[in-house]
Amino acid sequence: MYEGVVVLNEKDRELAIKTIMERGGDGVLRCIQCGACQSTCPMAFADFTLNPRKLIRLIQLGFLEEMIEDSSTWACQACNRCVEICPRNVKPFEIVFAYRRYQAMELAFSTSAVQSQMNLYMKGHAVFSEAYKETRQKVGLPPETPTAVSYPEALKEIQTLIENSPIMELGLF
Amino acid sequence: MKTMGLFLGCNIPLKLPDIEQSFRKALPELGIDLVDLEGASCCPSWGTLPSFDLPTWLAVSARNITLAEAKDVDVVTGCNSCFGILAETKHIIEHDEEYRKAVQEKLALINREYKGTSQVYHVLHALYKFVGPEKINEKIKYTLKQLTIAIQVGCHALWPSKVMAIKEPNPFFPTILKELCEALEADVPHYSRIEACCGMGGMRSTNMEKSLGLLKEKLISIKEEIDADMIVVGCSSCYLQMDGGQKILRDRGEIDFEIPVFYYTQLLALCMGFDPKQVAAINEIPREEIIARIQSEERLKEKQEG
Amino acid sequence: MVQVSTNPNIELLTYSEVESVEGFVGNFKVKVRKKQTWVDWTKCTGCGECMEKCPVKVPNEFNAGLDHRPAIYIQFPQAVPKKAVIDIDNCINCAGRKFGTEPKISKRTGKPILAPCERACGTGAVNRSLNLDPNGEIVELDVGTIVVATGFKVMEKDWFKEYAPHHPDVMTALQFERLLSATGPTGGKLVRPSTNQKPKVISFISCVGSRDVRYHSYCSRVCCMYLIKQAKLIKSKYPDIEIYMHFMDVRTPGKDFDEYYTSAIEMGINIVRGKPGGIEVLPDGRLRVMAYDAGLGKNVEVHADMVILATAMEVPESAKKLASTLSLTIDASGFFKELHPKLKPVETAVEGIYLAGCCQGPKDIPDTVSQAKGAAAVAAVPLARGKVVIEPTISEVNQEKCSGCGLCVAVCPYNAISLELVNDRPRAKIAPTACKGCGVCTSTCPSEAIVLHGFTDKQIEAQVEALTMPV
Repeated sequence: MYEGVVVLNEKDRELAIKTIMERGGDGVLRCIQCGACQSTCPMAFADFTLNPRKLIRLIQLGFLEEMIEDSSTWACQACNRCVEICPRNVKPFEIVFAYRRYQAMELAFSTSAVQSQMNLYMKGHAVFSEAYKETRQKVGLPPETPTAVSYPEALKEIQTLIENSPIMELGLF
Repeated sequence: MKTMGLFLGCNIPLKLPDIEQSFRKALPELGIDLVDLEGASCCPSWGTLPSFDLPTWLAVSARNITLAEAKDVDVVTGCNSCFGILAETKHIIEHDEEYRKAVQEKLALINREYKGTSQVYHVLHALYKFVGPEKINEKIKYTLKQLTIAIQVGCHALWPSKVMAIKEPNPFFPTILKELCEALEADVPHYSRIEACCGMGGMRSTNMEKSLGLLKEKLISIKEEIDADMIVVGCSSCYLQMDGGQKILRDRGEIDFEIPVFYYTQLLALCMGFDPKQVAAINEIPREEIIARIQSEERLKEKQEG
Repeated sequence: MVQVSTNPNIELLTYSEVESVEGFVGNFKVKVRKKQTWVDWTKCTGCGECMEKCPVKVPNEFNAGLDHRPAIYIQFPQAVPKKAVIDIDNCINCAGRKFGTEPKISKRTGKPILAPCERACGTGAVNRSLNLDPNGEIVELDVGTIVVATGFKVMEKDWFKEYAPHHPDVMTALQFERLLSATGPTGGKLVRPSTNQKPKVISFISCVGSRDVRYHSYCSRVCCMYLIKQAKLIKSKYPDIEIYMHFMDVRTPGKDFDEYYTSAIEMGINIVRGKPGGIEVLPDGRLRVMAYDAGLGKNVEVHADMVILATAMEVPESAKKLASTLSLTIDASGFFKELHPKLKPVETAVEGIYLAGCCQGPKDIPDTVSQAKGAAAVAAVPLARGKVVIEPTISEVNQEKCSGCGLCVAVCPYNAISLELVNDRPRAKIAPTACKGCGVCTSTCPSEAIVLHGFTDKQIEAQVEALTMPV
């Protein structure tokens, strides 16, 4: 086989589309590659290797595994411009996120994603800073926030929801 | 008087509590009473549960909304990620029977149920709808006459418009924040990258250089096209990027200017006369000078009118 | 149009609307409202003097809102007939001259003070003393067959928020067509509306509202070709103007169409394949088109002086009202539905009513002319024959059993059923030429008085029995 050519096959294609549709990307087959999403996508402006249009095309042709280590998908801002303007109701953002979910379950994600996930599980907040009490007092607020970090029973609820999800299979906590 | 449940999120109570303080000071005086939603968690933001498992995301978000339902209030939040996540969650649960069922099953594990009785508002939308520019103008002590503001609404308060209770007439050319700033009597001209992304969010944690590239483009558009005296944001993440990211670009010499940044309610609270040490105290790009200019004798509204 | 108006066998009713249609093929009774023109067309010579004097300015529909027209106006220079009308909703009744009132008398001259339009008219066609009926006049016509040809409208640009619709230099292709026209608002001079200067860079965007499930999922079929036409017109007249054409893909099926497209590329017109996602407005008023090129696989930007949107063709609301007047059906895309997409492309479900042109679906001029000729020929057949062939599988009323309740009249989708008096009692009657044999009346009738030939209860029961018979 030539180095610069790939052979298309139905088996890979079926698997790729099924994987994405099961994870919330139900519009993948509606895409006609018009490129409207890419033309207004911050990921494309910043020149990441992947953007919604390109990702959708790869999936439509069965390339599910080829970009699994590509962290570009994690640069999606979830800004939803693509959803707003897509002429085929593809909801491109949902496909990027469906692919992220696939990557996550294959443990292909960035360390920053792990940290915020851990924070959420342990503290109830994805963004957490130990120095918060001091900062709050400085601006005249009580040191404790009225949020989950101050309420153990609330934290327990969040942990219960996470513990009863497939995320536990990742063995992060 | 309208009572609303203040959903804080993470960035505002833990990193930028001066924004929280600006809500607590300014909103009640304008007729919006705030109650706390005790035990509220992270929304959870885009990079966490939404990127791992869809039903679990929706369940944790729905739990947050049930806190407001229990108090019979609508949710108001100042963080765009929180707003986007909660509004999207509400929309999905209320339009997709399958996900609604999955969420209720999960919530049953913690003895909760999603009812759908609470609306989700962005703080700017709430100010616009329940107070309005006219009343805001009545309540300010200092005006921003002849000061130029560059607005930055933030993506999640603009798109997808279908999930929002209050909609911009045209989200690609937003006007709600513009009108709210004009209520402070500032000039709010258009600049070409007005709707552009600041680069914060998942992009910042994935690739800081590329993220700062977007910020730089936006800042240059603001500087060269309208030479703004300040940037006013409607999103706490945008605040972190426009302020902290700008500092990085400045220190590196990639830009040769500094534009102070405010969250809208901070500026509003300053115009209402509140103490900057409480409502506008955490920043990288210096704000002292502009704050002194805002809260100065000659900007007193009664003097100007008298 | 001029030929039509001068043909002795054609009666042309313009400025008129169909109010109602009753009857059936060969015997349609059509009520047409001739709208009040407020100008005596037997006297109006179409000189246009009144237009010069009328002080009112309202957006000019014919120039797609790009300029203004007065309240008394001739729609466009080639209008047939070339007669003036008064747009009474926008008329300001100068000199207190409401229609049907006598003029004030000038103290100075002792003569009546007339409105400017009356004074301008040299033939007395405008006379505001007359008490004219604002509802116009109803005329009744007996016709054998009807051809529906309402045409289309294009979507307004305001729908497309991502394309800076508030900006004067963003315009629909129809507006641009008017701008390029010798009879248009600038007399054919190509200028940016915002500056009145010649543009240096123009972007064209296709599929705006077409092939877009937010608006219309269908392809409007004509946009690719007319956009290329507009681009070529400009490029041949002003070779220095840069032109970028953004297509999702270029559709040029048709004789010589693709050659036309490729010749545009050779002229130096840039084809960019990909749908732009938005337009930003630059401080100098230029438009930053945020686009994508499929060939490069990359984002591209064009800083354009003007952006032309090929907005979708659609059926106007007024035509949808006409559809219900005529008992015609509208299909999923909003156009009038033909009887069969392949074999009966101009016929409708109502015998004797035919379709031509864009009311049936988007099409270009050659296709419209072909279809119109087809419709005219088909419509002439029953007239020439004097009789029509009807299907045997239609319904019939047994008036002995009929109770005259009228339920069937209400449910018939083809207006084929009426009540007639038999021995002073109302009884249903089905017009065999209008009935389509759908069977709704048969199943609705509480007295079992209607039979659908070929589908009697006995026949259906026998069929069921045959199909369910054990093998």
